[in-house]
Amino acid sequence: MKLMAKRAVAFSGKGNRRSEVRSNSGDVVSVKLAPITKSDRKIIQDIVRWEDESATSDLTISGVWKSRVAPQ
Amino acid sequence: MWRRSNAKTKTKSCELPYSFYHDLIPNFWHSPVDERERGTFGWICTLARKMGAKSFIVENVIDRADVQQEIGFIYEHRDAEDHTGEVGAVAITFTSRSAKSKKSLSELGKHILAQAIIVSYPRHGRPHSYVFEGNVRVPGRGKPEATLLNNYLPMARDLTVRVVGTDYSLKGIFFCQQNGTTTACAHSAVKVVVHGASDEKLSASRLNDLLDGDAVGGGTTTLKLVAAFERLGMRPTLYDFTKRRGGQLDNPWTLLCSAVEAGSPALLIFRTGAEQIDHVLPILGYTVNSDEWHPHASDLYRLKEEGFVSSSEWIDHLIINDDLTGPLYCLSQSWLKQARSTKIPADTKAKPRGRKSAGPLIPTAAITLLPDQVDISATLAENLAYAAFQKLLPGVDGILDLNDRWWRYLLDKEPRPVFRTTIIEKERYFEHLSKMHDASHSSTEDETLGALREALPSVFWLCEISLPNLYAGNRAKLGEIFIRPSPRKWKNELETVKGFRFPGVIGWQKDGNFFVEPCGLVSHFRLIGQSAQQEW
Repeated sequence: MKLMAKRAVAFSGKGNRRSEVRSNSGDVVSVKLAPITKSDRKIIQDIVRWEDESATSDLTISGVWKSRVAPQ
Repeated sequence: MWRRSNAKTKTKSCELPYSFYHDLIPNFWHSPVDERERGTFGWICTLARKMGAKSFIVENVIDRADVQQEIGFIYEHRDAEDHTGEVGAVAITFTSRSAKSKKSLSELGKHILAQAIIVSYPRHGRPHSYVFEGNVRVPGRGKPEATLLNNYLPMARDLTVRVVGTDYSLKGIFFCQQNGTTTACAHSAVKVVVHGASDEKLSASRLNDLLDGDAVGGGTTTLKLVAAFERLGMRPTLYDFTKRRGGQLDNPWTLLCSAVEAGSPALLIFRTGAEQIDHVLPILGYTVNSDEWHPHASDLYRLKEEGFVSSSEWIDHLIINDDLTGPLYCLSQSWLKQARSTKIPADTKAKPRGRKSAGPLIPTAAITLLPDQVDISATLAENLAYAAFQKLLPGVDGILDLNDRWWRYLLDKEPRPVFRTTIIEKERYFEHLSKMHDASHSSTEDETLGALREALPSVFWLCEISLPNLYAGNRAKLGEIFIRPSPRKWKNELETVKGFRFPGVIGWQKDGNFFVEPCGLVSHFRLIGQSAQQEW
């Protein structure tokens, strides 16, 4: 487990450049992940906005079935 | 008062040249003899014929408690002109057993193909029939029964069918039809979905209470449908296709396929082009065409902008019940894609532009049902997973020296990945993981799995990662990304990733960081979930 802890991949950093932390022996023990791309963020935000707006949509469903044979 | 008609119990052969058209339907279906008006029962007969029906059993079921309740409620709501006339209810059970068979009825269960309970009563001054309830076995044919190729029916259930006083069990689909007096399409759709989720068969009276009023005369609305599901303890999510997503109308196909592949019951709401009738269909399953061209070609020909392929792109039909035409139809995506070319007016009461006659279906909304406490939708989870995938891959490469061929292929070739997204319980995933572990004969450390188990919530989105040919040919995957089910708010999208597995590595989130550890699962493995019994 200690070894795993040294292999932390931090994602809380800012900026696009990946920063590395090395151990005394020179091994990379952690890297900072860049944020997701702008285009991916826009797609995700569009989905969230659309789902939020949809949640209050009150569309009518007539559900009326018109028989093609006229009542006698 | 209505007079009772009393059909006698009998078994009849229906092997050819017996004609359902001429010998069966006119005897028990009392609506005008019109192909469209008797569509539901006619289609059940057709399914029975396709499955090799040899005989059917007719019995009078007017005294069954649920039928009595249904008829009583209709009688309360009948038109003034309909105070006299005849009422009846028959169950017609189709079997693959010869009418001359001398074997005991106890063996009937494995031969039952379908059952339709037809209720007939006076409506608008003439007899009217409808399928009150129907049960149809998962379609298949032959001995042993071979199910249909590439058909997936997550909504199929173990059904109980009563024939001449004995209950039989079969795996199939439940169906019901609106009668136009106490029920409309919304009632039928809710009844089918609730039965799929809980085995409960809601009465017409209860359905009307849930839909809050006169849904037959006055129609209903999407929010009333949502409220009905919430009262039943379900978690509905409403999608409005008349609203634009990111400046354009959304493609309902992707959303519906993602929902049904994720195992979520879903309803499609659409408007017919010509007569402005809104209709609701429950979606039961889907068919896959693994030879589909566009998932492979879309990248080459720049046909789409997304950087990944959703597994739903191999879905060529949705399997639906249409309560006006019958159970287990395949709805082609061409019918909904055509609809996108017809402009949907912002005012849903306004007439749609475009052709007035024989128009396509205009999808207006969908409702999907998720397990409780799931706030992030399948579509959202899939896009979050793809966004994270692009960052995690180089991140892991920067910290671990992995050289297995599938890992290097993902990293070096940067292929367009396939994502398949389903909701899953943690314990079920770990059962699946243990099978992968055994199959690969590798040694995945218990501590790593323990840490992953601790990091994952009890229910989460499982976004399986594959490649087009691996998906189509092997139904196999190279890894997974686990997305939390809720909440929908985040500061950093990567927060929603609770863990991941790529070839040769497992990662999990703890205290705002991801921890990674090599593992022995370096190759591909079968996708999780229901498989069609017959696959290509």
